[in-house]
Amino acid sequence: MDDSLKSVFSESTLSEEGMRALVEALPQLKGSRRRFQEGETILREGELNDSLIILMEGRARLLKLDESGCSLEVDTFGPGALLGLTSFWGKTEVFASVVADTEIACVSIDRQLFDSLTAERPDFVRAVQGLFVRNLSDRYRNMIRSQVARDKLSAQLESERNQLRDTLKRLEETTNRLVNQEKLATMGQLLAGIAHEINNPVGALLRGIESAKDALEKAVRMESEGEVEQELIREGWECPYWSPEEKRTRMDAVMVDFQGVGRPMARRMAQLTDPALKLIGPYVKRKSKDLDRLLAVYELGVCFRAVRLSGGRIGKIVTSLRNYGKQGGSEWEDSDLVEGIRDTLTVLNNRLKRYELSLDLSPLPKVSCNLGEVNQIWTNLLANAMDATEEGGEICVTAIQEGEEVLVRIEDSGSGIDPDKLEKVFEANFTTKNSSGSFGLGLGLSISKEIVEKHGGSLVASNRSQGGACFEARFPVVG
Amino acid sequence: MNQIYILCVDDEADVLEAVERDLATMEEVFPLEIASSADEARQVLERIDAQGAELGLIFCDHVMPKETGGEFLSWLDGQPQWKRSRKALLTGQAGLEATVSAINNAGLDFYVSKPWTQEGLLQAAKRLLTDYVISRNIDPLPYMSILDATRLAEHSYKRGLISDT
Repeated sequence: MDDSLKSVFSESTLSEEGMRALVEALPQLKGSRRRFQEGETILREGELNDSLIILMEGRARLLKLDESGCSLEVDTFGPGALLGLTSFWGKTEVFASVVADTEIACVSIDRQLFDSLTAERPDFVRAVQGLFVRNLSDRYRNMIRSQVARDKLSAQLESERNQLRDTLKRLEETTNRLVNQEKLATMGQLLAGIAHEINNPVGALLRGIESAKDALEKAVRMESEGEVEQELIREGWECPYWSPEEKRTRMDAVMVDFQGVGRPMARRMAQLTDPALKLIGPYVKRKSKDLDRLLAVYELGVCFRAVRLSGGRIGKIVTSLRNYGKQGGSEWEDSDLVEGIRDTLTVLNNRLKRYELSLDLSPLPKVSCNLGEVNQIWTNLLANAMDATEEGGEICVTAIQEGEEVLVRIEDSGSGIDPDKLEKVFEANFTTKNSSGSFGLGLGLSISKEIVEKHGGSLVASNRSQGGACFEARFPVVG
Repeated sequence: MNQIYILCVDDEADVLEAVERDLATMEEVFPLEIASSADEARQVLERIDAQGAELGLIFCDHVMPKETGGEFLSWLDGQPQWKRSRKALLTGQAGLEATVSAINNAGLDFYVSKPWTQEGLLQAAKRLLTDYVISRNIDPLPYMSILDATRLAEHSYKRGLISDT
């Protein structure tokens, strides 16, 4: 009898044979068999427990309520497990509930039975004590193991969280880039559309004014001999824009050469080209009644030329806008970088004119590139140069060939770059600008560098010895 | 009779020529001057000052290299001899901010947005020069033909310069 129970309690849980042996060895247990249905609570957390339960068949779950009242599964038990050990032994409240996971058969030893067993069977006491100690020391080991596992898990979680943070940052960058790209593409489409819309009337305007001039020449010729008039129209048509200084000098000269001419007449005559003045001069001297008419004919030519030149100017701006707006397109062509630089300068002219701009753009061999994207580089670099430089400061744009490379250098006389940050400025989200600007996402230089590198080139930042920053972009020449 | 000048400042040659042409009819009475930058305008003003003449009105472009029209008019407003000259900003671009700043800091009297019309420009010139003549208490007779004769006459009547007896 002693021996049989020893083998029964040799482990911290009971084996199936052990259980059978136990129930057979202790006939008192026959009446203590109980069954639980799936989902039924065997021990309830917080309640007092008066029996020690040995699981015979089926599976049970150990559930612990967390602070918010949700139950967490802590452990599962199979046949042979001892349930309610601590609450039974220590007469304390149940620490974690046990719920039947399947239908369960078990032996429930209540305190009375337990006491009688301990009184009648000293071998039961010894075996039970051994089992309890092993069970408790198992639990203790498990606790240490789970502590170690938890620490490992925390470390893993921490590293995953860092990874996640990095990924999120990259995602943000990518999103910003995409939004930026999308904006540029939309702007390009808009510009192309607007350019087309403006170009049509500008084309009509330019054609119209040419025809008007031709028609006018014919009209004056038919009316009379009309040679003087015809000549005056042609002179007016080609008349340059006099600078205010030239205008003053010419007015003074007229007032000296033609005594008695007042300022209003002198101003009209100062507008005349030298050949036109030669034609008109005699009419002034003899105070001809034709003078006013002839001046008006010349002025008609001047006005036509103003329409022609201003219309041409609109046309050029529109062309620059359209070329510039190719950004976001994906065509690669052998292109002249200088054209792109000029388009960008035109687009930025409104702001750039407040700086001392010096250009050294020599004719360059072609570079295989996406011109729209490359123009984005000039825009970013020029915008940065202007942001870093007081108005009236100096901005230099140089484009030259150096060996098998085309070098574009954009310099400013601004505040320069902190020497420690010469590399860092190309990192995404690096910005020294506050949010007041329309840009300031800190993407300009990182995008620029990316574009240059995509073209097989390099973009390098440095500081000029005389102060201010210098950016050098190099592109390989088409071989 | 003291010479009262009109000065036009714009860095764009085509715009300056057009403004000059539109204001040419005023030159029968008010000599016209032009300049393509704030610096050149200062030189012109020095010459006008040296002649003992006055500046009645300035039309100035806003977006110009180096010094904006707003900045220049603000400087002008700080000079005792030009403080009372009428100042108008002629611009295709200045946003509300530039306008507000010009009105507050540059003693701006008028704002013309591009594109302008000759009629609008002449009306503005007449109104502003009438203001100038009245504020300076200048004998209005020589200007009656070209400026706002009714306002000039009213002013003279009040001042007792003209009597109806």
